[in-house]
Amino acid sequence: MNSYLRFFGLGIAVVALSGCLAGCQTVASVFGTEVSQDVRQNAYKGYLLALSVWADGVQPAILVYKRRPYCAPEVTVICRNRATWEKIQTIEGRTSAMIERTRPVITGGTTDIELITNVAAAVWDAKTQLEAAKAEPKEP
Amino acid sequence: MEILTALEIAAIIVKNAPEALKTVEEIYDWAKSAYHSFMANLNVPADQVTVEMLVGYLDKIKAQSAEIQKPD
Repeated sequence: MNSYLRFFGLGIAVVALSGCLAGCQTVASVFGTEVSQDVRQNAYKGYLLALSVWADGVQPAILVYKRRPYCAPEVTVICRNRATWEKIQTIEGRTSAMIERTRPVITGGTTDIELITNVAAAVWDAKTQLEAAKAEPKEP
Repeated sequence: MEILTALEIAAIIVKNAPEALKTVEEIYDWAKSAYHSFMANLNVPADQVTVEMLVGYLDKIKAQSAEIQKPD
């Protein structure tokens, strides 16, 4: 059970997010001045990779975990710890809501491109929190 | 950006496959899907990232989150 969520160490996240963070810092450094189309496109690329890690890697794995029955005395091997699951839901909900709040940057509701530069860090934080939730001792 | 080879990325993905995926077929399908999606996005030139691509991901995240948050 304690290693069901090992995927949250998804190595590709390191690649994607390190790349995004570098790009995001570039964007942040010029934020407040004129943001060129090149800078904006680089920010979009980092944003795309962060979204990909979340949507194609982390969320599907959470859904796999959700399909398991709750752990019980008669179900102890392939099962879902209730307390861990509640923490995962909280972390996932908070992170996805944060990501959703960046939608206006893309759809034209705001020009504050700095919003999307925070997504990679949010995904990284969520990954760290999910690993911590996984590592906590479980009730038998 | 740190660049890993495609083989290294594939190895990392398989190594980190959820243990909940118990069969070879499940692990293969999950890793293949994650790998192809990530590599496809990694290979998109920055100047070719479109609003439609990003909105598509936002919609996917919203839908998957709704599924995750749905009570059992």
